[in-house]
Amino acid sequence: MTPNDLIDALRDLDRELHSTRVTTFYRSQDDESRARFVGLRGYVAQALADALHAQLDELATALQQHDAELSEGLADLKRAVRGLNDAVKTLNILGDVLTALSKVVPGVLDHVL
Amino acid sequence: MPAKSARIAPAARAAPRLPPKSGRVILAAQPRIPVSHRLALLVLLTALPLAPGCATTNPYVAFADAGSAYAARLDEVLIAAEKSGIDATSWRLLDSDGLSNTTVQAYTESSDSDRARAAVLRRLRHHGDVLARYFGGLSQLASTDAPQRASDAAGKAHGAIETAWNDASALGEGLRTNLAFPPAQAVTETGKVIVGQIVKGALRKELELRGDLIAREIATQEALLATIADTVSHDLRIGQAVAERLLVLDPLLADAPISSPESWVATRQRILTAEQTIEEVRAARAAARALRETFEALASGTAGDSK
Repeated sequence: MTPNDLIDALRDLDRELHSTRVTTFYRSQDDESRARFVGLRGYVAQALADALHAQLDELATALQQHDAELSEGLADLKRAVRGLNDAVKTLNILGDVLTALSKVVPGVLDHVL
Repeated sequence: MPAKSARIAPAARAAPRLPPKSGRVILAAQPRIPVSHRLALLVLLTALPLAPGCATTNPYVAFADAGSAYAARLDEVLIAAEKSGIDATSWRLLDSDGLSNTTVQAYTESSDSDRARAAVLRRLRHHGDVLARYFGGLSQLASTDAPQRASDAAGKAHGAIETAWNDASALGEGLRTNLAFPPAQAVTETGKVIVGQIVKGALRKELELRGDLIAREIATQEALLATIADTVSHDLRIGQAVAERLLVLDPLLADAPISSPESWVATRQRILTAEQTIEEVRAARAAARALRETFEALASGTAGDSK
């Protein structure tokens, strides 16, 4: 995954998490899930911002090192968001992706952990 | 959630803007001048004798003008990008507030993020300004033809362009290495600049010394604009989605009937027909292309002599 691939993936995810389908789904969840969704969605936007501001060479190297984990996580998340069957499970997967992102995008770690 | 460092991307928790009502936005950047016309212009410029100090058709003047025009267009697009980012943040805040009550901390972090983004945009604007100053210096260098004053004028021009170049190249280097935009690939593939035989004197020296680097700075600006276009487009798309939900769907789904049907219809039409990029981006990209083309004309001298 290249830095540009990552940025494209994060933009797609950011838009998906702001779609009417996903937002409406989480509106019907309990307070805790709604608050968690808002927080994690904010971290995705933050990760996108950080990726756009990252040192290119460092980002590319980190992406190579964690490519498998990140690619797998993003694929899992895509499936979960598409299916949207389990609000908590989807948030857990999103949290895992953000944890993986924290290893490649400086700054995200501060937010997630 | 702690505040973050400066960035150009959409603000963390914030979000997009409602696209303008007017038809000033477009879906994709289009060249302002048809390709055939631009080619004709390029041929015209490169075919001109490089008589220093001649009128506005002179490639030196055209290049300096293109540099100034580009800086002005860049200014506009950066202002527009700043506004679209702030609007995006506002939409994100409103959307999130509908799910879970926003805290003062979350709001403050979003605003800090907007301010940080504005700071990055100011840095980009400064790069455009110093580049334009450098290009103006190059033009001066080329037009120092009065024999008695040539040496002094060339010396002054040299001093000005030296300072401007140092500023521009330092900023450009920062853009290429510290930000993931413009993509490195886009700015490392600039071709070798061949200085035409007709280009003489101080300008020739300058172009031989820095021609390749100038081409890279111009390529940086073009790549930068591509990234800004993507960022603005992303902001607008999220804003559009949130605006449709908050201003169109929610009132429709509410138990109470729509209070002002005409207004609701107009709002829905405006949101659904909104474009996903802005006129300022298109104009700036056209100006960047013109800058590159006039630089190529300047460096190559006449079309017949360029290699």
